[in-house]
Amino acid sequence: MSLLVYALLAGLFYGLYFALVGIGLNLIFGVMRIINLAHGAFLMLGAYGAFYLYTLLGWNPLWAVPIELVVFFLLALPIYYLLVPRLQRSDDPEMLSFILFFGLSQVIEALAVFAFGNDQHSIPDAVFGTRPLHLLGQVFPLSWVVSAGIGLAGIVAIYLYLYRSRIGRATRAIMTDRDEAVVTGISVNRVSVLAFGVGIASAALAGIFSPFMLGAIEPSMGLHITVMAFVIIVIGSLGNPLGTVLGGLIFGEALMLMQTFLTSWAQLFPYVLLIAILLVKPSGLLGRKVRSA
Amino acid sequence: MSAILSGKGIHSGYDGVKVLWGVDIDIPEGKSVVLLGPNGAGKTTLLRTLVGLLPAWSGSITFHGRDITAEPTEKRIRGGMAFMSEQGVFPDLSVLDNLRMGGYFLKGRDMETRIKRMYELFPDLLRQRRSLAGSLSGGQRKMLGVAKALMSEPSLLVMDEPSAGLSPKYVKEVIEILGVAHAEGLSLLIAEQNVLFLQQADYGFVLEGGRIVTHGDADELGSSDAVRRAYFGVRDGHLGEASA
Repeated sequence: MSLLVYALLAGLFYGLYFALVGIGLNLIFGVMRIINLAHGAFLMLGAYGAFYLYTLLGWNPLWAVPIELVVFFLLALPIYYLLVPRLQRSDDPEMLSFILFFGLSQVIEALAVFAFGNDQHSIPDAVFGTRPLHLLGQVFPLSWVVSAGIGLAGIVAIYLYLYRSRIGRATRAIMTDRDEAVVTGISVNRVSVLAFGVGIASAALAGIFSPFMLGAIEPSMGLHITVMAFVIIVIGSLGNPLGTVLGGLIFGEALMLMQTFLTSWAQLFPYVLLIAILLVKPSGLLGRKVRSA
Repeated sequence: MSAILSGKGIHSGYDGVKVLWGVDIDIPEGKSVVLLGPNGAGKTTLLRTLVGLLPAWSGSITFHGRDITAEPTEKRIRGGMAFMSEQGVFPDLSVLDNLRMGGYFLKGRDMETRIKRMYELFPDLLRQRRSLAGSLSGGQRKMLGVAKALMSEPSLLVMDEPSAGLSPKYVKEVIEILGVAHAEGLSLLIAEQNVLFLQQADYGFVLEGGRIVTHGDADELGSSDAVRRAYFGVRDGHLGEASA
């Protein structure tokens, strides 16, 4: 019984964090119909940022949060203007984005090996304090709680942006129907670049906490994380950023239950879940219509 | 009579397939113009070219006397053109958010005034302001589409098949709504298959096979040969006739 309580609570912490891992990928897909296969690569860069701020300057990873949000948002702008408008003029932006952003992820990974080396690194859990959290008779590392808290804060921030701001409303309008948004007079390009920046910055934000949640960091970690993020957003439904929260929670709970009760199968689990969702409800749990692609 | 929008010798199409073969069209200021034609005649292509969603392969488009052939859609919309597509609304957004999108580039206070004005014109929208546009009835959705397009205080409203998918009862409603829009003083260009729309129009063009085959005053056009042929005559072969 206590094992079940443990798995469920751990799943909740992980779920909130996983929602943050996936939400940027889904935001960019929803607005631009682009599959950012470099999502995990940006997350990896975010992780290295936090690692170097900690080892070189001794800064707590929480300080990396404001710094990386700004740095990665600004980094996203030239990437957007270089790649996205060209992609959207093509006949099949979704398919081309697959290839283009896979290429980008490989470039980032190669440069990361060059700059950081191939060694694995980590940040000690103790940076957030040594006293663990006691909850319902279970004990959890404080780093999980902090990561989940940041995940929740990120989701709330993106919710406020999408549902409570003028530009966020326009963002949702573009997600519903891009052509309709164009003929409504919405500055589609300006809204898209913001969404792209927010998406990349959220990946870096998730990256800061990946040493505590996803294990040691290394330049090649990106692709696996992209696949994981993809599973999360497919569960919730593609193109619906808040569906990602549901996807993250289901993924977190399921993963923790698997790791607790069927440990040896846990590695296989994300892929099985992806296939199962695609077979049973390809539009995702919150999706209304099956996508035509 | 000066034209608010005018296209000269427009050739256009999709992916290398030419649909429009040199279309000339003039929308006189303050008038309601209906563009009739059967399915596949190129009505939507013409409208999409006029608002800039498709590039004109050749020919020119002027709006308020200014050449806009190379202008992006966003600029044309800000210049006073409004376009209502067949869908016309964002189904996933509330009625109020749809109106806000329609007035996207208005300042905060102008936006509020304009939304109030739309609620006066269309009281149904006030009652439903929190509902998702996708949950409205077909007729109400068109009403919202018109209101959303009117938000930006356009001088010209371009509409693609406002009667598409509507039952006859709603078609009448839409024609009434257009009367309201016209009474607001704006010029209208409406692409339609339904000849009923000639009733509320001042002038009409008939498009067949990507060419304007006839045009004239709305009341005369209703009894013209081209309209009869397009709507009551033989469907097969009329494209050949038109291009001969």
